[in-house]
Amino acid sequence: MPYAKSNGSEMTCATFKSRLNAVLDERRSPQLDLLLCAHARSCPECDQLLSTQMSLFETLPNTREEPSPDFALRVMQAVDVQRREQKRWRLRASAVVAIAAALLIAVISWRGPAAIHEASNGPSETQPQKLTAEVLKRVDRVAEDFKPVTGSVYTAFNAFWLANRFL
Amino acid sequence: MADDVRDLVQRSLAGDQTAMLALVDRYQSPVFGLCLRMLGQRQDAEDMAQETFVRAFRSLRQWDSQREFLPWLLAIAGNRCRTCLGQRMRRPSTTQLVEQVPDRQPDGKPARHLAEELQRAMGRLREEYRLAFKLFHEEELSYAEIGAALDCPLGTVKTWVHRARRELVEMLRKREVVGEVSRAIRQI
Repeated sequence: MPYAKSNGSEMTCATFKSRLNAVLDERRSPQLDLLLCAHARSCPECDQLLSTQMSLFETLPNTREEPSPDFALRVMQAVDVQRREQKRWRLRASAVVAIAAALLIAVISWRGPAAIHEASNGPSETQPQKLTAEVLKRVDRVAEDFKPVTGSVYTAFNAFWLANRFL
Repeated sequence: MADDVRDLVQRSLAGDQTAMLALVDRYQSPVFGLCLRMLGQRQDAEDMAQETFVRAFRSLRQWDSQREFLPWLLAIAGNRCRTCLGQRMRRPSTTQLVEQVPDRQPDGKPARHLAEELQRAMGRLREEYRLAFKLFHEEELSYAEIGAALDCPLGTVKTWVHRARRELVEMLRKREVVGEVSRAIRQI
């Protein structure tokens, strides 16, 4: 195995190769490394290796390519399109959640006409009292009938707002 | 520089388009380079690089500001490219997957001749060696950045680059192109 003396230390071909790799890993020029050059001068095989590596790295930067000039602009357009799509999707999702919540509330709070009628049957009273009670019952029934609707609309608005905020 | 990037990210999160454009401008070269090296086709590389930025902006909040921005971005790009390659495998096309250099005769210019020989030798390298070598030496990414992009340990990347160097030298020696080019370069 060939040897080369440099600064009082001996370098083997194996050490040369490993140092060459280390120098290239640090993106330094092997030509400027005194130890490598000293060994290469006394070892034709390592000298050829050094020459080849240097030739390689002289050639490499020519092959680098860049994206087209309007690349950044196209990225921004794509980001914009995606944002608009996301917004549309969020609105749709919010609407679906709101409708689902409204339906759920409507189903839960819907008592049905029979149940309301049953609840309004109380003890017998005199004629004027009966009339007043009847009017109040009707008002109550109408209010009761609309309760699920108003509740659902209110819930739907709330659900829409919450979904839009957090989705 | 890291603070600068953090500031750009913060502004991008707030919807500042100038900051987003500045981020794209700063990182488009390494991202495109990685995609080109992985996919071998310019058009696909531009598409994947674009998708990388779109995805990065979408998940910008997930970036850990204590870490470097580029490896995170390259990891996204690497994932996109792997997905693209997977789709190509499932749907074989007639297009070339690897850059190929036409087998031309040297035109008397040693450096150009070597570039062609080098490209030819690159084509014969194992895919991962070629990719790691190009990312390290042509795109000038660090081993850590390459590891993040290719989703593999730093030590493995290092081994691939070293092996690629060794095999390239061997191939160029066999083609006997080194001597003449070395002499030409030394004369310069």
